[in-house]
Amino acid sequence: MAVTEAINLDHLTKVIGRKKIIDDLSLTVQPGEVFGLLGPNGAGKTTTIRMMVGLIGITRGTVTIHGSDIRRDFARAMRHVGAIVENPELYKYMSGYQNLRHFARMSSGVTAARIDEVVELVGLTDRIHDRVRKYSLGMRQRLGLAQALLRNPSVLILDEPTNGLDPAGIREFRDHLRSLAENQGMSIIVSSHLLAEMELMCDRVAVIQNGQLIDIRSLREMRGQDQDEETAVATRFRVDDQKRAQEVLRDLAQDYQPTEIDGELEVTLPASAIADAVSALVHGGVRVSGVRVVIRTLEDSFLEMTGEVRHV
Amino acid sequence: MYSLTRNELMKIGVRLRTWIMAAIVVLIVLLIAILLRTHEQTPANWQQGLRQQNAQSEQALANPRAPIPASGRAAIKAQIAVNNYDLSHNIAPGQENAWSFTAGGLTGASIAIVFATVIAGDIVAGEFASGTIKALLTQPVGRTRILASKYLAVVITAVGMVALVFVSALIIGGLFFGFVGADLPHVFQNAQLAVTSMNTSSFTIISYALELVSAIMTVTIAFMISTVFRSSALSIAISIITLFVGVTLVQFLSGYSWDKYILFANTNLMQYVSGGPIIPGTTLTFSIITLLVYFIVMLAISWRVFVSRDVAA
Repeated sequence: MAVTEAINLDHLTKVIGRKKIIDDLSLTVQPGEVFGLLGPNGAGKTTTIRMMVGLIGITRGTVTIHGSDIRRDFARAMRHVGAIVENPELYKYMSGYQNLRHFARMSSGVTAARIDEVVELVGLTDRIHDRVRKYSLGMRQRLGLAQALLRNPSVLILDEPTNGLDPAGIREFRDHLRSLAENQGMSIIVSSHLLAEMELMCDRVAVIQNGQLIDIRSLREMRGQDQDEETAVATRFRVDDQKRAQEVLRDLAQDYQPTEIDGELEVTLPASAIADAVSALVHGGVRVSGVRVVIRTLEDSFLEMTGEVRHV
Repeated sequence: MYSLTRNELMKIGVRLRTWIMAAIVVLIVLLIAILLRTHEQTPANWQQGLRQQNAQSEQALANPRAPIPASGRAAIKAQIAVNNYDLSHNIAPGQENAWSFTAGGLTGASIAIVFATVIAGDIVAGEFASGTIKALLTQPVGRTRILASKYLAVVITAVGMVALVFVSALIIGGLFFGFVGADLPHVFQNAQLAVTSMNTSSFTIISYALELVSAIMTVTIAFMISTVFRSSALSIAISIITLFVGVTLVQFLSGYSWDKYILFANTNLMQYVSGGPIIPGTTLTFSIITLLVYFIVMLAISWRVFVSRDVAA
């Protein structure tokens, strides 16, 4: 049977002492997919990522990358993988180019032309012969990405890649990743605690808490992009008379449960029924000055899932 | 393996400190040469003195009334040979030449070994300290191969450092004292404390070859310490302290019978060529086996620690 998954984690477990750092984690990432690992600090994202690239030993379970077991067949599995683990610390006393040549020698078939191509891709051509010591954090990040892309990997594994980048740098980095996934069919697995970031970057996210997988969600679904007319959506109406409006809506359908939130009236109803609801309100003598569909942000869902109290 | 070792040598080679240390080694050799040159004294009429001494020695050897024991005869004959060499090559006794200077410069090799130890102590710990270990270990190369390439680079550096002392001493010695003396007899006591002689060049080459053994054992200790500690400063410091304390320890513990099993009692194999064992009763075979056991154990510890370590921070 041909293996189609890019990455497969199967019952992955890490025990240190008596503590289960990662507890029976299973997930798969498809080719061309940007997959996010989301969770509060200390949830086990970094440990999971590090187990996937062989930096941390696996207590139980397996990690397979394009069918190769990371433990039994490390070199073959890693041939598919480019990785940046946290801040990409490269050799500061060497130039960017010397760094890339160093890592190019560690995988077979990376030519000088390929190094130039990658340098061009991350936009470091002008400064590649400078010492890394003189690079800004953003440039180091780009050099780290160049290092990860050298052997033309089909899987990119990134741990907190936007840590320490400024907003412009983050945006640039995100665009890079999306284009790699969309144009080259690269699978990207990325960990972060920045929700808004993940929302913009990922196709699916796994939420991890206390080393356990809580949920895997498609962000397209969460954004409401995959919904049809019959999916229930939370809708808010801005009306002049709350009481009258609630009565009208209850008359319209028994199972609508209109509630007042922030001065507006929220009802969960099928998308196809929104027009009827507006019509009923207007005919019932309620002045409607606004209607909007409430889209749950990843943050809302995340807080809902992990049961965390929002810190303001 | 070739490209991995090349990588490690590149990382050693591009660093300024490597070249500063190499420059210091050459500078020390140069300083010793200048010092010897300015303090050199050649007595007038030394040729006459040597001829007299030889004549007296010949007489003593030929004298049937006062027979000289065999060991004494050998010493006298060796001295006659040296004197004759000096006379025919016009070298005043005690005068330095390229080869004798190189042989004496072996003491300069110990500073070279200290420098090689600095590089060895940093080679693994430095990657952890700078965080580059994460990029290094997420390439399609197993940890065993990475460690082996690092060890190979350390050995090459140690050999290079000792070779640097040898070559610079030979060249500087030649420039200061003349490129002569390769076949000058070098008189010394062998392991059985009998007086023998050998070409100075052969003796020098043997000394340096055996110094390599000591150099490799020393950097192997530093290499092991480097894999155990993640801070390069700590690892370098511990390696150098071990180096200095180790030798003193052997003398300090000489009262105990197990003293001979200490690594540093065995690293200097030259003791079996000239001067005899430091600790009576040890033999060349004993030292070689002891060194091999230490060598294998140290590399096994390095490997075990490196391969199984979680790179968590």
